Amino acid sequence: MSDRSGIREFLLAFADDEHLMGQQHTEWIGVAPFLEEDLAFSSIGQDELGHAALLYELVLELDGIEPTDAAVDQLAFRRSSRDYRSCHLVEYTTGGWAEALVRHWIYDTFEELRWEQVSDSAMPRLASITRRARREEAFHRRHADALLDKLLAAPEARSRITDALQTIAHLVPGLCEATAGEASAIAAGVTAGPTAKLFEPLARAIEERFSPSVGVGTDETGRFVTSATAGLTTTDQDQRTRRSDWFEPLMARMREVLDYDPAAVW
Amino acid sequence: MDVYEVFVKKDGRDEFRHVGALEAATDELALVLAREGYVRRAEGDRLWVVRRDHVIVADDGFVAPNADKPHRHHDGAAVAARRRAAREAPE
Amino acid sequence: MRRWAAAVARSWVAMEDFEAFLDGGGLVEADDDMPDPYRQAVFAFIEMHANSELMGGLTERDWIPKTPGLRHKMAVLAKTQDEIGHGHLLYMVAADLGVKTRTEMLEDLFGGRSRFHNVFHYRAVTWGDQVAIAFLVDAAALISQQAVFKDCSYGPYKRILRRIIAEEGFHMRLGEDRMMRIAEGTARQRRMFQESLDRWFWPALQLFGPDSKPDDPLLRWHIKSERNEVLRDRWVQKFVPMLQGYGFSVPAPDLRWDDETRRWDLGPIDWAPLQRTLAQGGPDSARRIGEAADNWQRTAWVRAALSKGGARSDSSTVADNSRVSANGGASASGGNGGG
Repeated sequence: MSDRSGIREFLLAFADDEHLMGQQHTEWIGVAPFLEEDLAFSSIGQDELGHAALLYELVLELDGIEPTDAAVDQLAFRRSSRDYRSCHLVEYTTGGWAEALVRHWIYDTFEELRWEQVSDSAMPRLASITRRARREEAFHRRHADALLDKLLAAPEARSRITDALQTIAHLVPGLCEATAGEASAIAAGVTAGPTAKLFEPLARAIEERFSPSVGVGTDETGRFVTSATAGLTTTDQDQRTRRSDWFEPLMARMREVLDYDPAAVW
Repeated sequence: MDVYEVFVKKDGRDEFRHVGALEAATDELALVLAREGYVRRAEGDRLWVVRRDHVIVADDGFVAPNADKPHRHHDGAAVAARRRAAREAPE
Repeated sequence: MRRWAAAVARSWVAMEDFEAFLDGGGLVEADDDMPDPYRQAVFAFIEMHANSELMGGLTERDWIPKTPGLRHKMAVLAKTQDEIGHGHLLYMVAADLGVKTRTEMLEDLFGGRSRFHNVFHYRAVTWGDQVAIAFLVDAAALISQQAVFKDCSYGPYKRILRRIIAEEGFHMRLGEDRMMRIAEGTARQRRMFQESLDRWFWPALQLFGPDSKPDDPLLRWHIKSERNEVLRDRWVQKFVPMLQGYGFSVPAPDLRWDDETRRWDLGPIDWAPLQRTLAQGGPDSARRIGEAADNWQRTAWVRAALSKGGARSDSSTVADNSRVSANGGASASGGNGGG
């Protein structure tokens, strides 16, 4: 793999995660548990979609394509499934608001670490996007923490949140999985280190956040629970080249209007 | 849930202004939710939230009418009259 | 030392005094001892406006995940966020009137016991409908809201309308921008949008409600400042030529240009569809209300956990509830004209 395509894949994984995470958040507009939360969660979704658009522009620049909105949309919506580099956690269709909240917390905790890795990127545009993104991510994390502080203190809510964590925990290692060419991105100084290195601090943060109701270690089936040491870095994502079963229905929904008339500009 | 009153101001401009209210379970949630509820278009860059039951309210009539206190409202009429008289007076 | 809601500010001995105060441009505040019929009328009006903003957001939400384009999606998400935000602002102001709490209002809405605007009893079945709503319906709502804002006697409502109207201005421009892209677009796009116009033109027009009654208390008390038929006509005179100018046809068989008055005349209006929506019998009423109710119930655990140990006072009402009788008093003429 050439350096350029390695860097491209690194950026694409980042962008696709942001895109699909933002997309998933849009499903909650109007149906969050209370009106104030509707407004906050919608803003977070808008932020993630905005990050995706900026990162797709970087990919287009690498490709030598002018980063117009139309070109961004071509990249965001028109690739074949195998060319996406999203992780399964952001493809996952949640079973309710508890899972959406826990995923939001995990994703944004990870994002703080991920953006930090590129804050001194050799790609000047990426470094400048990072400054903006980190301000937004800090708020996302604060929002999720403020809710969890209160919800985890109430027994019924705590058990729902813990169940939600157990349900999605096996998708967490995939979030920290790198694409095949990441070494090129590191060598070129685009990012400071391997994405896989973020797994341990993320797992520690999860453990701390949800303690004591979530134990340390793995469950009977060997699934990741919270431990940072259980060696659960294997996934079925094949370095982010394999899509989950949730992906096609999600993408069909996202493309419905675009497919109605491929020649149209909306 | 408690009701919080939300106040916003723009840097270097005007005073804090009351912009509305919201319900929140904690002070931290009130701040977090006020950010996206009231200043998501940067309607201000400073934000206060105050629990409604902490607001001390003056009764109606507590603020005295001031129309009968002309000594606080020099309108300059007397000065203007003297100046006019001085200008018009023969040398 | 008096805290919020501990006493009333101003009071009026007789309705005539109160009405003279209103006629003189007086603004009523939440902690005033306003006459009960006024309280009930202004509450019912704001509650319906709040319900409509929320249900409007839910109508749009069906299509948001399918928005064609990444930045386009951010824009429509921000718009619907505003609509939900308007609902929030309005419910807070309505709750302070002490007639119903915010929870009671939402539960009445999801229980099918409350009214909301006729247009949100219809379903957006294509993306074209989404654009038609942003263009036609938002414009109708904006015309109504501007007329309320101009001379509204209830201070808290007037103040939040300033923000609401400013945001609706963003939405109007977004809607027109999207409509123009379609007007300049492919034959398929234009056909889709014409079908949307055929579906949404009349419901949007009926949002203004039937002609105001001569003795409409909302007008007498300066809650509204213009009659329904005046506002409706303002919308017709603006949108008929605009739609035609973009090459679309107005789905009104009796439409004619009156050379004498120099105005567009739509001919007679069939109000039966509006009456059906007011009785929750609109084309999408059951699904819309049912889904909202299910969702409300599914997320009840969150609200329960947040309120536990957190409620220091029932401070959601400013007014002393005991003073508010169940006397429904005056309600909006036509019931649908505001907001």
